[in-house]
Amino acid sequence: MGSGAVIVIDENTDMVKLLWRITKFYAHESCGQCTPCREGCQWMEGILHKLMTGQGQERDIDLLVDLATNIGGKTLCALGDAAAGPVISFIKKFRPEFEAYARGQKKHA
Amino acid sequence: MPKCTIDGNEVEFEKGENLIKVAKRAGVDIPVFCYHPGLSVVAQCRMCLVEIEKMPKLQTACSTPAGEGMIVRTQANAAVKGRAATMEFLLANHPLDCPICDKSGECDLQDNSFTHGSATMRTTEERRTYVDVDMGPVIQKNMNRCIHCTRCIRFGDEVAGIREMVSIQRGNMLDITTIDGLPLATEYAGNYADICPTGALTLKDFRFKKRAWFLKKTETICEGCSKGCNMEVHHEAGTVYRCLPRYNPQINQYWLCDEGRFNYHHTQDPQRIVEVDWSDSAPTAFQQLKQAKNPLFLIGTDLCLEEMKTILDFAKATAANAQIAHFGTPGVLTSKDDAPEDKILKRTSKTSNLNGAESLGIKPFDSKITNDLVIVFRGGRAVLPQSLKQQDAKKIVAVGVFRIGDLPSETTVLPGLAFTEKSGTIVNFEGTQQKLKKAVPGPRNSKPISEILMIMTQAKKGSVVTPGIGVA
Repeated sequence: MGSGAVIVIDENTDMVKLLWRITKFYAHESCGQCTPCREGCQWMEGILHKLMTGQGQERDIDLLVDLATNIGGKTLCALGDAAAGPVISFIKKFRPEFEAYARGQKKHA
Repeated sequence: MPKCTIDGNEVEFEKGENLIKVAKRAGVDIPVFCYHPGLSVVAQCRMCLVEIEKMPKLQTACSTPAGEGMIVRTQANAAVKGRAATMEFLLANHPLDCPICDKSGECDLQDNSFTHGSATMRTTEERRTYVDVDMGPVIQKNMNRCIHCTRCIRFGDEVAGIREMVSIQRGNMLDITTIDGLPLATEYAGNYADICPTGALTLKDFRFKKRAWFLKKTETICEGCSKGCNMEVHHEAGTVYRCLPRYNPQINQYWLCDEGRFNYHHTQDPQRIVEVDWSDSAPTAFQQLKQAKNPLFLIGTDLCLEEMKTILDFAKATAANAQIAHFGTPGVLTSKDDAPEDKILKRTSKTSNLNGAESLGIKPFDSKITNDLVIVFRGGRAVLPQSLKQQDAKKIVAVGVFRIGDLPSETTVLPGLAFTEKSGTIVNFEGTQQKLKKAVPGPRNSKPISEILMIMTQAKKGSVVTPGIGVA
């Protein structure tokens, strides 16, 4: 999950939706003190929500990775690092699923 | 002294100094938002990221004390990229309404974005908006522009001594506001606008009046009380638009009280008496003085040393038997009565030069007038004695800055210059001599006291007195 916690999930789980849910959690938990975490988590959550609802584009995937890289290692506490971790690793491991959403081949019910 | 290297420049530092201060000495400017030299360090904005050798992550220069042998690179790729990222995050929800923002032209967000940010944006999301609360008569709030640096919260806490600004909510909806949405109570509220790095907190007084880049700046001293705070008068085409504090580590540091900040308004009062027929009033007043048996010279402690000395010399030469006294603040007769009014800047003597008057040996006015003529000199701020207002107008000659209604209506007023309109020396409560500097020319018919006295002695009835020159 980025923070060292482990979640066991079914192999049929929608990874885009899961990443959105995780990012939403971090956006909600962000205290709002430091800039990258306050602005970045909400931004990533917004992009993932767009992707999930079929309004995303392929460039959003690279933007997500870039934003996560910009948050990681630059925040006041470790919450920002924890928020950036899943975004980077999810997209690295499950990129085709994200691309399917971006191309409109898949849409969240 | 220990040394460290910043961008290739070796620089000495004192133990405990942070990298921003050290870098400044090395000629390297590190951009900041939340850091303010007069406030505590929170390292929240992440704008001052720098690369330090042997440290895995970028560090914030504001919260990192310099260390012996430390090698800092502000222009390393990672640091440049990190700052650009911070800039992008800060602008992701900023309205970018610079064309209608009062801070435009002197905005840290604008400047740093220009230097360290990118010209393009990658956001397509709707921007965050807030509902604003009324912050009282001094400060206008526009929360949409806020970058959550919390300088205002820390200023209230650490300098003004009142915790009235707080952050509520959290995460992306973090809101900086007053407790319970109440108006600001501090008498130092103007500083909130000064320290705000964006246009989130601006002065209602200065709002929409002038673009920052048109303003000319003159360094002068506040005449509001005996503290002698250093300030900067911002003016254009002969009109003063605002006064801002000027850094002086011994006296006021970075701050200025609202009383001093808005004191300049009295110089623009439509009730200020600025019209006079010099060729008639001045010689008549001099005649009155010549005929008086025991004239009283009342000198306001809001005048400069130079003006006081001129008046003393004039009194010596023209009316040797004159009684001379100073007036300023009711209840504060000598510098012994002058005390701090609060724990920050204000003092009880509401004129700037009480100590100067004492150093010239002028005695305080004891409120009884038994003289057949009173000639009163005033710079605009000294409170006129009550007994003077009850005098017969024919027995008063007023020189300096007066408003209609200050004195009996028939009184002869020879209009002088206010503190923004003249240069001179004032002495503050500690005995520090500081210079007033002329910022604006003053009303057309007003003259410096030295010139007024010269016209009085030299002009004959009906002679031509031209503005700014004297007697022709």
